[in-house]
Amino acid sequence: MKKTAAVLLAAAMILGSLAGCGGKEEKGEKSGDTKAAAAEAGGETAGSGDEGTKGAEPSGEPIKIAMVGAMTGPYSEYGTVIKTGCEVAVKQWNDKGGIHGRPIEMEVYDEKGEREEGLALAQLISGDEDVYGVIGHFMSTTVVGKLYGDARMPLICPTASAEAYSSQSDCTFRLNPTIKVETEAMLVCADAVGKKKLGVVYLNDDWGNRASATLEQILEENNPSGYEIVAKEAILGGDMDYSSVISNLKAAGAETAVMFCYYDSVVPFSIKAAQAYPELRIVCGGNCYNETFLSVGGKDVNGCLAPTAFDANAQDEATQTFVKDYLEISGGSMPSNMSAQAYDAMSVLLEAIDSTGGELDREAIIAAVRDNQHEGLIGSCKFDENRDVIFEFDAMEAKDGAWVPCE
Amino acid sequence: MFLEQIVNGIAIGMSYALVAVGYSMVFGVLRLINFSHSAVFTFGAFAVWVGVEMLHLNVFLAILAGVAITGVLGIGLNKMALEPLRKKGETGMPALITTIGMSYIIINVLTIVFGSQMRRFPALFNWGQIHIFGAAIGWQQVMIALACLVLLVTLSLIVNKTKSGLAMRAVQQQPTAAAINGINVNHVITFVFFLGAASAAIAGTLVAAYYQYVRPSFGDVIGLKAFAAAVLGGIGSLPGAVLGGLIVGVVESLAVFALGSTYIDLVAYLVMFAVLLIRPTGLLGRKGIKKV
Repeated sequence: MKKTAAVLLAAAMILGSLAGCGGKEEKGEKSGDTKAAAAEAGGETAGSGDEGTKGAEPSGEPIKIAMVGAMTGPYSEYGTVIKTGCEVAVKQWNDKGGIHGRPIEMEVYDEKGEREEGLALAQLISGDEDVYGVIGHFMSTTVVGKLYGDARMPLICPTASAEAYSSQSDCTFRLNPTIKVETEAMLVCADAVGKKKLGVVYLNDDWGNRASATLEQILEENNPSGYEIVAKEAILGGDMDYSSVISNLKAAGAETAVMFCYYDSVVPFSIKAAQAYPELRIVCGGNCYNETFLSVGGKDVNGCLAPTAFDANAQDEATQTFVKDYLEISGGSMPSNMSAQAYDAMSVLLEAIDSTGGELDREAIIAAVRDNQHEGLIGSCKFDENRDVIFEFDAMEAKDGAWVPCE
Repeated sequence: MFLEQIVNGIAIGMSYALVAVGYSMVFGVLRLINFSHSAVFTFGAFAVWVGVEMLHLNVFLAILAGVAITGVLGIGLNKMALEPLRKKGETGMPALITTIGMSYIIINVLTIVFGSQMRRFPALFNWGQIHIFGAAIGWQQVMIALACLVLLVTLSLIVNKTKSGLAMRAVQQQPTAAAINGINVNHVITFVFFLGAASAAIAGTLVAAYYQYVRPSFGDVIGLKAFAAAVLGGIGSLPGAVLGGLIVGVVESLAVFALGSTYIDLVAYLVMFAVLLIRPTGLLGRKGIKKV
């Protein structure tokens, strides 16, 4: 009996690991996807007659960059878009001939959305002398910075919202808005709605609680629009039914729901609100600026507002090239805010490595990242004294399956 | 407002009840807590989603196909993982752990195939709302309640009024004696798994249509709440599963109304503990008599 049970359990665990933890296969190995995409893209670029941007075929020892994301588990969709954004940047650089003739190789590590796993990976990566920079970490951003700092390895995170992230060391850089910056941007969206009674809906976790408290603090310090918070509702990630929460907002007279939640909570909330309280306007964070939000939410998310520094429909050449390459690599998915931030983070790092003249001196790379003047998809990627990028947002509104500038 | 929250609670509770009925039926016959039920529920919703959104089948044809495929999955789980254990005489802890393992495998496979993101699921009964005493009730909520009752009555009839049901009850009481009397125990158990999985697919479809999305983690929270509902109502009792689902749903809604959404789970599980302290077998559960 014990033997059978043990065999079954072992089989279940092995299959589970293989299935859910694909990152283990990738961990410490070259990203096959990346290489394939780069190779494929190289051919396509040549074939498409885009010779102007095609450099000499890179050769020699590859320059390794680590990318750490939640590639499996409940946050894997975020890991996928971040990885794809990075891949686009790597592909474009390799198409141009690499860095001083050497190819760029992105190694993908799976944090699985677990802080402990992220810490273990940081210990592994920071000890690898061949890695010249790291993009990412998702759930472990606030515990890995010191490790990379001690190893003098630049870390650029495109998703770290906690204020404390970039203060961990002088080589941790943030290429996404802080909670405070994003909250202020969400208030600009609320201004566009023009209604004063706010209902705050926040995820009952570290991020959600901080964001909710930050909103209150901002309004206490400066409230020129005269906002009043009439209801505060904490929700749990993974919950499906928000009818009761919506009833509470309705009873409290909330006119605008300010939601500090991931898009996968905002969408079911919006669907229910469209039925039970259609007058309620919804302001959400930049993470909702993605294709899935629109496709799953359908007409029920019409009128939702979100701040974004990236506009996939912008007509400038950089954005259009990025979108085209992203569509190719992702198999047809449109890029999100996160993928643009990841692309810019990788671009800043590669540009910094390039600017050191091929010497691959980490201190020089860190300095070059700090002093970068890169103009990215999100605008200027210059870091301030706290190593945070200063974001400039546009208020966007979901309208008939698209994000359009808010009028 | 109070009435609106009661209606909200009944609607959520019916979702729990739909899933809890499947938990209870399998336990009622096999005395096995099938922890893969919520994963099968998610699989069922995905099976129908594939039919509708990818293969562009007629909705009701997609539901029939999805329910049938999910039923076959239930048979497969039993044949591959649980029957070999029964042949070794192991029906307790190893079987329970095996169902947990199968649950992870199903969810991981769904994640690999479809990704972890949400997918839009078509609303099936989006016929607007009716208003009773000022509270708005959606037709989808009404249809979920009806489906739950139909499922309850159908499964009760199968278990209590058919020859197959008689065989199920015989297997539940004494498998060896049932086998001596000519009942193919494995066939009966396979049928139970088919029914359980098919009911999970129906539940998954209705719940996904109500919330209008599906994703691999779709069954995580609802599966846990439904299990709590089944235990509260008396696991093994089909009416108990429905009653438990309704109580959990209404208590949750009233907790949000009275205390705020932070306390939703705390209050729901406190009520469950309180009920179990007074009636350890659940509200409609019966204490098993062990014959010696």
